[in-house]
Amino acid sequence: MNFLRKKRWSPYLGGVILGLLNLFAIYCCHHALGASSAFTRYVGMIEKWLAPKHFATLKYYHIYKPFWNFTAIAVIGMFIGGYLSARLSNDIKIRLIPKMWGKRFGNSGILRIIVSIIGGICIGFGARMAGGCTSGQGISGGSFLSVSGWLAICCFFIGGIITAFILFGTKDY
Amino acid sequence: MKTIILPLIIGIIFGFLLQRTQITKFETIVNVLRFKDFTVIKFMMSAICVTMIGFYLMAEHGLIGNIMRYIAPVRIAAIVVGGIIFGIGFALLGG
Repeated sequence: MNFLRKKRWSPYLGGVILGLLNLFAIYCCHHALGASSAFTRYVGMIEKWLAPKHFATLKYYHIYKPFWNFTAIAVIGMFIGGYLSARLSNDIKIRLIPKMWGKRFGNSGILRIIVSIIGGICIGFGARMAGGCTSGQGISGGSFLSVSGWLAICCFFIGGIITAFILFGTKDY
Repeated sequence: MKTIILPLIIGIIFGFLLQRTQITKFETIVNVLRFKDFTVIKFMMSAICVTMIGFYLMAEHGLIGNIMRYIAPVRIAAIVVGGIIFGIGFALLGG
Protein backbone atom coordinates (compact mmCIF):
# COMPACT_ATOMS: atom_id res chain seq x y z
CA MET A 1 0.00 0.00 0.00
CA ASN A 2 2.85 2.33 0.85
CA PHE A 3 4.30 1.68 -2.55
CA LEU A 4 1.05 2.65 -4.24
CA ARG A 5 1.01 5.92 -2.32
CA LYS A 6 4.59 6.84 -3.09
CA LYS A 7 4.73 10.14 -4.96
CA ARG A 8 7.27 9.10 -7.53
CA TRP A 9 8.23 5.73 -8.95
CA SER A 10 11.57 5.09 -10.54
CA PRO A 11 11.31 5.80 -14.27
CA TYR A 12 13.15 2.53 -14.94
CA LEU A 13 10.48 0.58 -13.07
CA GLY A 14 7.70 2.56 -14.76
CA GLY A 15 9.30 1.97 -18.14
CA VAL A 16 9.61 -1.78 -17.62
CA ILE A 17 5.97 -2.02 -16.54
CA LEU A 18 4.93 0.04 -19.55
CA GLY A 19 6.96 -2.22 -21.83
CA LEU A 20 5.21 -5.30 -20.43
CA LEU A 21 1.86 -3.53 -20.74
CA ASN A 22 2.60 -2.78 -24.38
CA LEU A 23 3.42 -6.46 -25.00
CA PHE A 24 0.18 -7.45 -23.29
CA ALA A 25 -1.76 -5.03 -25.51
CA ILE A 26 -0.09 -6.39 -28.64
CA TYR A 27 -0.71 -10.01 -27.64
CA CYS A 28 -4.30 -9.62 -26.44
CA CYS A 29 -5.68 -6.76 -28.53
CA HIS A 30 -3.35 -6.91 -31.55
CA HIS A 31 -2.77 -3.23 -31.02
CA ALA A 32 0.28 -1.33 -29.79
CA LEU A 33 -0.06 1.56 -27.37
CA GLY A 34 -0.59 5.00 -28.82
CA ALA A 35 -2.49 8.13 -27.98
CA SER A 36 -2.72 10.81 -30.63
CA SER A 37 -4.90 8.98 -33.15
CA ALA A 38 -7.65 8.81 -30.51
CA PHE A 39 -8.19 12.56 -30.79
CA THR A 40 -8.54 12.25 -34.55
CA ARG A 41 -11.31 9.74 -34.00
CA TYR A 42 -13.08 11.88 -31.40
CA VAL A 43 -13.05 14.87 -33.74
CA GLY A 44 -14.20 12.60 -36.58
CA MET A 45 -17.15 11.42 -34.51
CA ILE A 46 -18.14 14.98 -33.66
CA GLU A 47 -17.75 16.07 -37.28
CA LYS A 48 -19.77 13.14 -38.54
CA TRP A 49 -22.54 14.17 -36.16
CA LEU A 50 -22.43 17.94 -36.81
CA ALA A 51 -21.60 18.10 -40.52
CA PRO A 52 -22.15 14.71 -42.14
CA LYS A 53 -21.96 16.09 -45.71
CA HIS A 54 -18.60 17.74 -45.20
CA PHE A 55 -17.40 14.68 -43.29
CA ALA A 56 -18.03 12.41 -46.27
CA THR A 57 -15.68 14.49 -48.45
CA LEU A 58 -12.69 14.13 -46.11
CA LYS A 59 -10.39 11.36 -47.27
CA TYR A 60 -8.49 11.30 -44.00
CA TYR A 61 -11.46 9.75 -42.24
CA HIS A 62 -11.54 6.89 -44.72
CA ILE A 63 -8.23 5.81 -43.25
CA TYR A 64 -8.90 6.84 -39.66
CA LYS A 65 -12.52 5.79 -39.43
CA PRO A 66 -14.16 7.48 -36.47
CA PHE A 67 -15.22 4.67 -34.17
CA TRP A 68 -14.28 3.48 -30.70
CA ASN A 69 -11.21 1.46 -31.49
CA PHE A 70 -8.52 0.31 -29.07
CA THR A 71 -6.69 3.64 -28.86
CA ALA A 72 -9.84 5.75 -28.57
CA ILE A 73 -10.97 3.72 -25.55
CA ALA A 74 -7.49 3.49 -24.02
CA VAL A 75 -7.10 7.28 -24.00
CA ILE A 76 -10.29 7.59 -21.95
CA GLY A 77 -8.68 5.10 -19.58
CA MET A 78 -5.53 7.23 -19.46
CA PHE A 79 -7.47 10.16 -18.01
CA ILE A 80 -8.96 7.88 -15.36
CA GLY A 81 -5.59 6.28 -14.59
CA GLY A 82 -3.83 9.62 -14.30
CA TYR A 83 -6.49 10.89 -11.94
CA LEU A 84 -6.40 7.71 -9.84
CA SER A 85 -2.64 7.88 -9.55
CA ALA A 86 -2.63 11.55 -8.55
CA ARG A 87 -5.43 10.92 -6.07
CA LEU A 88 -3.69 7.95 -4.45
CA SER A 89 -0.40 9.77 -3.99
CA ASN A 90 -2.12 13.03 -3.03
CA ASP A 91 -0.46 14.83 -5.91
CA ILE A 92 -3.35 16.87 -7.26
CA LYS A 93 -2.59 20.51 -7.74
CA ILE A 94 -4.61 22.81 -9.95
CA ARG A 95 -2.37 25.53 -11.26
CA LEU A 96 -2.41 27.65 -14.35
CA ILE A 97 1.26 28.55 -14.41
CA PRO A 98 3.99 25.96 -13.88
CA LYS A 99 6.63 27.12 -11.37
CA MET A 100 9.41 27.12 -13.90
CA TRP A 101 7.36 29.11 -16.42
CA GLY A 102 6.44 31.65 -13.72
CA LYS A 103 10.08 32.27 -12.81
CA ARG A 104 11.05 32.86 -16.42
CA PHE A 105 8.07 34.67 -17.92
CA GLY A 106 6.19 36.05 -14.93
CA ASN A 107 2.72 35.27 -13.73
CA SER A 108 0.65 36.39 -16.71
CA GLY A 109 -2.10 33.83 -17.07
CA ILE A 110 -3.14 35.04 -20.52
CA LEU A 111 0.37 34.60 -21.93
CA ARG A 112 0.52 31.06 -20.57
CA ILE A 113 -2.90 30.21 -22.01
CA ILE A 114 -1.97 31.55 -25.46
CA VAL A 115 1.35 29.68 -25.48
CA SER A 116 -0.35 26.49 -24.28
CA ILE A 117 -2.95 26.68 -27.03
CA ILE A 118 -0.26 27.23 -29.67
CA GLY A 119 1.72 24.36 -28.18
CA GLY A 120 -1.31 22.12 -28.14
CA ILE A 121 -2.10 22.85 -31.78
CA CYS A 122 1.53 22.09 -32.73
CA ILE A 123 1.40 18.81 -30.81
CA GLY A 124 -1.86 17.70 -32.39
CA PHE A 125 -0.97 18.73 -35.92
CA GLY A 126 2.63 17.51 -35.73
CA ALA A 127 1.72 14.17 -34.21
CA ARG A 128 -0.81 13.37 -36.91
CA MET A 129 1.54 14.51 -39.65
CA ALA A 130 4.39 12.40 -38.29
CA GLY A 131 2.08 9.42 -37.88
CA GLY A 132 2.07 9.35 -34.09
CA CYS A 133 3.12 10.99 -30.85
CA THR A 134 5.77 10.06 -28.31
CA SER A 135 3.73 6.98 -27.38
CA GLY A 136 2.73 5.64 -30.77
CA GLN A 137 5.74 6.51 -32.91
CA GLY A 138 8.14 6.90 -29.98
CA ILE A 139 7.65 4.05 -27.54
CA SER A 140 5.80 1.62 -29.82
CA GLY A 141 7.46 2.48 -33.14
CA GLY A 142 10.84 2.68 -31.44
CA SER A 143 10.53 -0.78 -29.97
CA PHE A 144 9.62 -2.32 -33.33
CA LEU A 145 12.90 -0.83 -34.58
CA SER A 146 10.94 0.86 -37.34
CA VAL A 147 12.65 3.56 -39.38
CA SER A 148 9.63 5.85 -39.06
CA GLY A 149 9.61 5.48 -35.27
CA TRP A 150 13.27 6.37 -34.76
CA LEU A 151 13.18 9.17 -37.31
CA ALA A 152 10.16 10.58 -35.50
CA ILE A 153 11.88 10.35 -32.09
CA CYS A 154 14.88 12.25 -33.47
CA CYS A 155 12.68 14.98 -34.94
CA PHE A 156 10.52 15.30 -31.82
CA PHE A 157 13.65 15.97 -29.80
CA ILE A 158 15.29 18.23 -32.38
CA GLY A 159 12.23 20.51 -32.43
CA GLY A 160 11.83 20.29 -28.68
CA ILE A 161 15.45 20.88 -27.73
CA ILE A 162 15.79 23.95 -29.94
CA THR A 163 12.53 25.45 -28.64
CA ALA A 164 13.33 24.66 -25.01
CA PHE A 165 16.76 26.30 -25.23
CA ILE A 166 15.31 29.37 -26.96
CA LEU A 167 12.67 29.69 -24.24
CA PHE A 168 14.65 28.81 -21.13
CA GLY A 169 18.35 28.91 -22.01
CA THR A 170 20.79 26.93 -19.93
CA LYS A 171 20.05 28.51 -16.54
CA ASP A 172 18.62 26.45 -13.68
CA TYR A 173 15.16 27.48 -12.61
CA MET B 1 -15.35 -7.53 -22.99
CA LYS B 2 -12.19 -7.87 -24.99
CA THR B 3 -12.91 -4.83 -27.12
CA ILE B 4 -13.98 -2.41 -24.39
CA ILE B 5 -12.84 -3.47 -20.92
CA LEU B 6 -9.35 -4.58 -21.87
CA PRO B 7 -8.36 -1.36 -23.72
CA LEU B 8 -9.85 0.64 -20.86
CA ILE B 9 -7.79 -1.22 -18.25
CA ILE B 10 -4.66 -0.93 -20.38
CA GLY B 11 -5.32 2.80 -20.72
CA ILE B 12 -5.83 3.19 -16.98
CA ILE B 13 -2.50 1.53 -16.22
CA PHE B 14 -0.81 3.61 -18.92
CA GLY B 15 -2.17 6.85 -17.47
CA PHE B 16 -1.27 5.71 -13.96
CA LEU B 17 2.35 5.06 -14.98
CA LEU B 18 2.69 8.38 -16.79
CA GLN B 19 1.42 10.32 -13.79
CA ARG B 20 3.34 8.30 -11.22
CA THR B 21 6.72 8.55 -12.89
CA GLN B 22 6.03 12.32 -13.09
CA ILE B 23 6.79 12.55 -16.77
CA THR B 24 3.58 14.48 -17.29
CA LYS B 25 4.98 17.44 -15.36
CA PHE B 26 5.95 20.62 -17.19
CA GLU B 27 9.35 20.78 -15.49
CA THR B 28 10.20 17.16 -16.36
CA ILE B 29 9.44 17.64 -20.04
CA VAL B 30 11.19 20.99 -20.46
CA ASN B 31 14.22 19.82 -18.47
CA VAL B 32 14.77 16.72 -20.56
CA LEU B 33 14.87 19.01 -23.57
CA ARG B 34 17.52 21.12 -21.81
CA PHE B 35 19.54 18.03 -20.76
CA LYS B 36 18.93 18.64 -17.06
CA ASP B 37 16.59 15.80 -16.06
CA PHE B 38 16.63 12.50 -17.90
CA THR B 39 13.48 10.97 -16.44
CA VAL B 40 11.73 10.94 -19.82
CA ILE B 41 14.65 9.20 -21.54
CA LYS B 42 14.99 6.61 -18.76
CA PHE B 43 11.27 5.89 -18.94
CA MET B 44 11.02 5.74 -22.72
CA MET B 45 14.13 3.71 -23.28
CA SER B 46 13.39 1.09 -20.63
CA ALA B 47 9.90 0.69 -22.10
CA ILE B 48 11.38 0.39 -25.60
CA CYS B 49 13.95 -2.23 -24.49
CA VAL B 50 11.34 -4.46 -22.86
CA THR B 51 8.84 -4.22 -25.71
CA MET B 52 11.55 -4.69 -28.33
CA ILE B 53 12.74 -8.00 -26.85
CA GLY B 54 9.25 -9.31 -26.18
CA PHE B 55 7.86 -8.20 -29.53
CA TYR B 56 10.48 -9.99 -31.59
CA LEU B 57 10.37 -13.07 -29.33
CA MET B 58 6.62 -13.28 -29.88
CA ALA B 59 7.06 -12.70 -33.61
CA GLU B 60 9.70 -15.45 -33.72
CA HIS B 61 7.27 -17.90 -32.17
CA GLY B 62 4.43 -16.85 -34.43
CA LEU B 63 2.26 -15.49 -31.61
CA ILE B 64 1.34 -12.18 -33.20
CA GLY B 65 1.09 -12.95 -36.89
CA ASN B 66 2.47 -10.59 -39.46
CA ILE B 67 4.57 -7.91 -37.77
CA MET B 68 4.38 -5.53 -40.72
CA ARG B 69 0.94 -4.38 -39.69
CA TYR B 70 2.45 -2.76 -36.61
CA ILE B 71 5.07 -0.85 -38.50
CA ALA B 72 4.19 2.60 -39.80
CA PRO B 73 5.17 3.51 -43.37
CA VAL B 74 8.25 5.69 -43.80
CA ARG B 75 7.17 9.04 -45.20
CA ILE B 76 10.36 10.95 -44.61
CA ALA B 77 9.19 14.50 -45.36
CA ALA B 78 5.97 14.15 -43.35
CA ILE B 79 7.76 12.62 -40.40
CA VAL B 80 10.55 15.22 -40.35
CA VAL B 81 8.25 18.24 -40.69
CA GLY B 82 5.54 16.82 -38.46
CA GLY B 83 8.08 15.64 -35.90
CA ILE B 84 9.70 19.06 -35.63
CA ILE B 85 6.32 20.79 -35.31
CA PHE B 86 5.43 18.27 -32.62
CA GLY B 87 8.73 18.99 -30.87
CA ILE B 88 8.02 22.74 -30.83
CA GLY B 89 4.64 22.06 -29.25
CA PHE B 90 6.27 19.61 -26.85
CA ALA B 91 8.50 22.38 -25.46
CA LEU B 92 5.84 25.14 -25.52
CA LEU B 93 3.19 23.14 -23.74
CA GLY B 94 5.53 20.97 -21.68
CA GLY B 95 3.35 17.91 -21.93
